[in-house]
Amino acid sequence: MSRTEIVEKLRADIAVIERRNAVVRPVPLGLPGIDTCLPQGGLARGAVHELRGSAASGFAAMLAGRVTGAVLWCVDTGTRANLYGPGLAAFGLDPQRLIVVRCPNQADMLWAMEEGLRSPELGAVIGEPDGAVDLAASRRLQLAAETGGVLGVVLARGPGQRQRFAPSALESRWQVDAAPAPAHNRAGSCWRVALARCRGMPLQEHVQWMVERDGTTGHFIVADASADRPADPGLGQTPAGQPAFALGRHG
Amino acid sequence: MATGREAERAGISAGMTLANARAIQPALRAVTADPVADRLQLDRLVAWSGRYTPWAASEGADGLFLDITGCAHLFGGEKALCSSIAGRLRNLGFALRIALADTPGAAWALSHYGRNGSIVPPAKTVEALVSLPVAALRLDNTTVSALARVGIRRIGELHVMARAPLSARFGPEVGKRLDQAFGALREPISPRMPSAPFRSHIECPEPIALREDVGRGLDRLLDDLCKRLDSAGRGARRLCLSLYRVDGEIIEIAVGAARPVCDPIRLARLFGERLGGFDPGFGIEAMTLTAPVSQPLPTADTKPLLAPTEEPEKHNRLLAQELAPLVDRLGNRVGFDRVVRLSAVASHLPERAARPRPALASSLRFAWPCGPARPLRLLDRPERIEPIPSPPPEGGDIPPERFRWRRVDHYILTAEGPERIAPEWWAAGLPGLRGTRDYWRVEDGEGRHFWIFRHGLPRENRTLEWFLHGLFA
Repeated sequence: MSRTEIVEKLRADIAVIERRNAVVRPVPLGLPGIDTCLPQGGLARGAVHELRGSAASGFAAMLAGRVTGAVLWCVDTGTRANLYGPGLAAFGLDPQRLIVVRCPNQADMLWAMEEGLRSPELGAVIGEPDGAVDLAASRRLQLAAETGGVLGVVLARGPGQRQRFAPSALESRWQVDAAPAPAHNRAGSCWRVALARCRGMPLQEHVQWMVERDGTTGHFIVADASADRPADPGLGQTPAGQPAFALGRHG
Repeated sequence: MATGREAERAGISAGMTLANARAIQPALRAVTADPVADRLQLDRLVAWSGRYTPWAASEGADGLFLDITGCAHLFGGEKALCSSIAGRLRNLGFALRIALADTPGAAWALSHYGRNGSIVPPAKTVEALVSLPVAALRLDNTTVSALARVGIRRIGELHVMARAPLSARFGPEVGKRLDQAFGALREPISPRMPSAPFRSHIECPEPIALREDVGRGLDRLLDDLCKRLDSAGRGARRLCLSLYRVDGEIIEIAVGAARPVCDPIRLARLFGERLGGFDPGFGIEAMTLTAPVSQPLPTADTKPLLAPTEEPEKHNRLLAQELAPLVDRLGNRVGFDRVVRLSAVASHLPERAARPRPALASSLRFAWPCGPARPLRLLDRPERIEPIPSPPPEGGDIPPERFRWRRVDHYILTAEGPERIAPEWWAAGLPGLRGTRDYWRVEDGEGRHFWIFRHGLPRENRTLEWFLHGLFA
């Protein structure tokens, strides 16, 4: 038995121990560069994934747009930035499929997410818990998702450098930040997508991609498979020099 | 002054002055009357009577009317029902007189002036009432004394008299009360709560306190109620579970459903969350389940929901049918007004173009006109931003170089726009910003996209204000 075969077998054994043999087919992101990196060729359904960063909502909307079935989005009643129907469609999520539940507190939010994750008639459940999701809560969410086979997404607040490595039972953890759009795609947007951890995948430092959304067609592409490239620490900052000023006039 | 049983034994009677009573029995304990608390207690007793019949109402300051039509057999007959009520109320510390008759008037007369616990067999009202004093007809004191002056003291004497001279002399009240007592005039009882047509009740052989036992009782009630609903072709929109505690308290748990439901398992799940949260006290001895609101069950669409079909209306219906159980569970915990879908409204103003509507509402629209990009999130009210440097009032249609929002500066690297949105003259009465707005989608140095607008036109000769209205991603 070769070395790779042993590793494969061990992985399969671990999957059985972790009760993951029943994992239904994953949700491909439709982004070949990322899908091939993920252990199952996509995001695991029946699991909860954590997103943080300035563009996490858009990424979540894109994910929700890629599953069939209704989408439950749990938001806080206190939020001032409400989900906007006409804008969701641009990210691939048809507002017709969306149910928004406004939860008055964190306990209700986690409860509503669990209820949704246990409902197989749903396609995806997205939640925006106000505080950190601790280990127990994340385990409950993960178990609920395994029961219902629903794709779960937790939108974590803040940059969360500290919480980034907090223990969690969630399937994967992503950092999605906005990045300056390239000159040829001014109407679109660009995200720096970094995979911080993913179950069943060896931990690699700085697995990140640049994902671009075409402003006219709304398609997503991986612009720059910059895996193995360390994140540029200066990219997130405001450029010190004179800001470039380009003005596009809409017809 | 009202008196207790011990005081009466000592020779004190109701209506005495306190000084006289003190003279007879110096150890008398006097408590100030509290009519409000009495009233509330009476209301609680009316609710408590709901375990016997849904038709219960209070009468005067100290009476209860229970319409037990069709209920007596549930408790082993009229005699058993009466002794059950009397026994339980005595255990709760109340002194009471009880009577059962064909009409409320006759029952009132017997309970106040007849033998305690008397039960008048059907159609024997006249015989039961003839020997009672006329005051038993709920007549006021002046009428009673006027009748006494002409020698009429018993109901029997009044009953045989010709009605016309009686009314002419003593007013219409006497005739009305007579007719009410003998059933010639209907006297409806208005119940405390609108009577639910679907109702199910069980008495527990032993008081129960465990949540599991209450759940089992609820399952039986739901089975029974759903059978009735089903045979009527209806589903419950609202259910109310009343738990009668041994100490006379009543716990009421209400749940709602967004669409009519007639499935015991689904309804039990709606209660599931709520069953743990009450204090059973010394135990629960009876449970009543009512469906105050019910609707005809919709004909089931059996086709499963696959993908958005070409008919949005049909798709919407299928989706609603499939998601109703989930929406009900969510709605019962956080409130049905908080489980919403974003419905389209024909309006140019961004804040009016999408409106949250109940998730299972039937007439939802999701078709927004195609046009310039809209943000993913819209602030519930636009937030003022500070343009730096402040552009000149007559400046062209360009956004500022940089703006400050929530105390953070954002450099604008690229901007797309303007998109001019004019206020709708037909909606001028609505609150909000009135002026013309020019929207830009701007990107800052970090690649974040904002939706900002300038309020007002340079030539409108007013100060231009800038606002941030939405966030992309």
